[in-house]
Amino acid sequence: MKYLLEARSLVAGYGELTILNGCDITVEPGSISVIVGANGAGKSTAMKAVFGLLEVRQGSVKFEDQDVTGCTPQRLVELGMGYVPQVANVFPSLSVEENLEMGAYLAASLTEEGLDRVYSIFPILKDKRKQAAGQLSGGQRQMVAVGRAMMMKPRLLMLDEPTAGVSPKVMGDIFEIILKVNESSVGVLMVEQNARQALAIADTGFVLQTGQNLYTDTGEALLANPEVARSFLGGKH
Amino acid sequence: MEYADLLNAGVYFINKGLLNAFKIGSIYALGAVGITLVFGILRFAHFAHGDMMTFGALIAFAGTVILRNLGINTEPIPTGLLALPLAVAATIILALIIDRHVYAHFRASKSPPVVFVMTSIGVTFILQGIIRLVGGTGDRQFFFTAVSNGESIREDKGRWLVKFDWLRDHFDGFTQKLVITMPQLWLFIFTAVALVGLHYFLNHTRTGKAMRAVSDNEDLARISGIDVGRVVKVTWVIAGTLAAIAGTLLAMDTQYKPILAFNLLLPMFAAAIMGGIGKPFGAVAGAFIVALAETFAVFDWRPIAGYLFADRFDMTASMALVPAEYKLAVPFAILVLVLIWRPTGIFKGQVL
Amino acid sequence: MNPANRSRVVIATALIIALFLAAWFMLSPVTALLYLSTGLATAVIVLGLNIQWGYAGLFNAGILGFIALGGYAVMWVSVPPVPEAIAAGGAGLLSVIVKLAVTAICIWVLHLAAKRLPINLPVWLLRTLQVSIALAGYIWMKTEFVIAVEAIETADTLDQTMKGFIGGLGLPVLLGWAVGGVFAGIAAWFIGKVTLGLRSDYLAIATLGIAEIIRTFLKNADWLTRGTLTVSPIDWPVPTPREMNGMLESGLEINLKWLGISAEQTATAVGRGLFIAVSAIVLIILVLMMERALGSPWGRMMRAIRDNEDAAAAMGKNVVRRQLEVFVLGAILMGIGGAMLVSLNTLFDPSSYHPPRYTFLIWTMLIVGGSGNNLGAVFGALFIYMLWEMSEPIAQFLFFGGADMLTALIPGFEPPVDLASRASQMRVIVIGVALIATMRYAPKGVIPER
Repeated sequence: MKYLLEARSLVAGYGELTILNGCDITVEPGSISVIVGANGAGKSTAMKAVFGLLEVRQGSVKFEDQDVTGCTPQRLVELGMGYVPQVANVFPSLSVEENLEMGAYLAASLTEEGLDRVYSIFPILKDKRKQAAGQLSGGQRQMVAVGRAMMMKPRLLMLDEPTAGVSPKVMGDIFEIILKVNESSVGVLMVEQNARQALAIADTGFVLQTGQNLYTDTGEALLANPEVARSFLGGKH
Repeated sequence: MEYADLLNAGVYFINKGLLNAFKIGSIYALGAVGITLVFGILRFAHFAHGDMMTFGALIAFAGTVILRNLGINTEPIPTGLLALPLAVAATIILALIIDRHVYAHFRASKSPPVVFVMTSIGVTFILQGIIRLVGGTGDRQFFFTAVSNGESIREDKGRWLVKFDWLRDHFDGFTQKLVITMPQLWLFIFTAVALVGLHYFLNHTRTGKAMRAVSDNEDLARISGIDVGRVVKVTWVIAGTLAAIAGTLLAMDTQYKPILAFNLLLPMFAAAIMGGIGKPFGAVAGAFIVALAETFAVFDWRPIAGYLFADRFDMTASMALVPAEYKLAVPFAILVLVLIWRPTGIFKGQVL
Repeated sequence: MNPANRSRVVIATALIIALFLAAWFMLSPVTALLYLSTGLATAVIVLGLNIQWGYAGLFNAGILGFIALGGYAVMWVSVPPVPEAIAAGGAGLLSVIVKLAVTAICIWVLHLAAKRLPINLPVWLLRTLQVSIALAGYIWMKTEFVIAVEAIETADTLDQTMKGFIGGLGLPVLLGWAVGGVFAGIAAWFIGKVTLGLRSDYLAIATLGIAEIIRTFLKNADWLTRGTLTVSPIDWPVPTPREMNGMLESGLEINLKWLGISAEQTATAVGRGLFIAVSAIVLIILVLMMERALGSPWGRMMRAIRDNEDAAAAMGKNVVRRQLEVFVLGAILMGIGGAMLVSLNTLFDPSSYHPPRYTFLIWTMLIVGGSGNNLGAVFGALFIYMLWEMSEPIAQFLFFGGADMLTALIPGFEPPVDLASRASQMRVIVIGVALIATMRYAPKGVIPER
């Protein structure tokens, strides 16, 4: 198996509007893939299409060489994918532990083991397990969100702009969370606004423009690419 | 002022004030919990909830008539209580049928809340029609004289008197006593059991937690693999159960009538909104606040003033804050105030 | 009008005519005329709701309150004053009004002071002060009010039909229709001021609650409305059937035999016919005015706000202000319609206002007719009202037929004694089914918005 996730020539959109025009996204087992691009380039759309939240009009999605095009999110969770939405990604009135339990709703038997695993990655959550998730700080809330997606022991974790609207300090925390998750050889696919930091930890980077792959390369190579730097990484170099 | 007067005033206050407030508060609580769960999970104000309560009471009444005519008598347990399981089952089935054939369609087409509200008003029309069509338009007593095998058996409502004999010996002139009817007693017991049970269910079972999760964030619940359709069904089962219990016990304490619960709808909405939508125990607190407010707004303080201050006041006019005719307006006023000043409820529920 | 809508209008009109003819021949011509005139007055109300919901998307579930206020207004304007009652309690009431005014001014001055003066009063303190003043004012006037009311309600009057309340102004009834609109409009301004801005179903619950408060007040303020004793007769803007009868007796010759109307019913039929004419004129004027409003820049802005409140607000439109205008305008029509209904029935009975009949039935009319479309509103009002009235005789016919059949077939079968009152419940079921079916299969109504 070369790819954990292999999405080819995706076409998708909302209603009349087509946003993805045949883009390719891949994740190798245990690696980090990052999708970057300007606003409206189709980053989050690609994510949603892969995770079955949006109808895939053309193209295919394979997970561990199995065709999963058009599968429901529930089915994908059962197969070993976890998804963390950009906003509203915790249950605010549920306690931290209950949030995590909901992550293993499809397989109650995994709850105990999942809780142990998540608490070992994020020990702070164990201390706060009785607290309502809505009362946590931004960074801790992201831990809960990621933890919830990790409960079913996924081989691929998908994160939609995990650092959107958080302070620079919390942003650092979140990248740490992602690296920590990746340590346990979980593949990561994420969409990021902060292209520089994201590409720095990426094994593979995808630069999207108008729903198509503009560049596809290793994170390092993309960071070094002057074209990419000028268009997508902002001024300071 | 003597201690006996103080005792008289206190017992009178509890008997005519607090007990009444607790009775109506329990009814409101059972209804408001259902309303708030439906509001939180299906995201609309369910206007047909009162009629579900009336429907339950009607089925319980029908069951009571059948049981009494069969000659079944289980005093001191009222026959109506034996018919309660039937009423609960029927109300649950009704709620599920309505959901399946009416609301499910609008859920699938992702209609805005207004459509659901309008539809639930249509359901109210139909239910009110069916209730009167089947049960007639008159009032009906749960306690009546039945004839079975040529023998007529009368069932009484039954009262539980607390006379405080041990205090009477010590205080001359202490005459007040507490009067609780059997249906009221059962109402308190059922309310307590139902609410404790609900608390356990919501906080300690997987399905209960899934319900709270759907109420919090439906999209995330779906992504997590929670079967939202099943959660909706469970919600109706709980709402139907509580509605049937509340309707039946209210009808047993007073009488069954076709508009039994329609007038309770707004106070129950007031309670649910005051408690914060999607928070069942906020709704319970809201229910008791509304009940206390409406009871004491029209409470005539004259007897108490009489005990405490003897003849120092002119007590020809009622000493109620609001004339008794306006009793129904009190919860509406509270409701409007809550909506305007704190639409998230006093316990900060979700904002829909 | 586009062609698709034209055929729908034809079908809709045919449906109304069919129901009208059914009433004419199954019941009686005068009953059919009564239904038609009630339907026209109701159409004015539905037109008002269409402005609020169809134009602006405001979910008003307090229609009943505005209808009842309109009904009270027409009674108040047209009924003569009761001098004995005014002599007994007028002074007391005046004093109460003065005290209330003083209280209101105090609260208002406090509000202004907090706003204009350079003192930084915390909001909670201001509110507490205002509520305390209101409470104090209430206690201040309460005893006097109770005494005045008692005096009015027990004052001996020459005319026993006017006993127990202070009466009205004794002015022409048509003025009462207009005042009905004014009363409802003023109430709507206050209600809108505090409730607009709530999410749709919260707005519905709030307005429903306020309408219940209005209803409770009108029902229990015997000194003002005679409460359950009801006030009648209320005048007509045209000769009433009784006056018509007098004219016929004094030589006026009208023959309606060719319409199948008997001599005894002629006076009623002519009177109702005239009333229908006046109602139709009022309705047509109002529809034309609303059509103009809808086509004007104001109307376009309203629809823009309805379709996307946030976008309209972002474009600098004063959304709440516009919604308040629309809320008041709609309520005015509801008040006029309510006044017309009371006038038509020649009876003001405050305890007759029930939410199913005066709020939810109106909603059903608009939804079935087609919201956002004045023609649809009028059609819905006439069609649903006739359906509402006609489903009762039809159901009774079916029920009694069925009962007879069962009695014949099953020995010992006894139909319930209250069969007639049970059969009358069929109409709420019919209306409920019509509402849900429309929501489901024709969400835009029979005559959709263009």
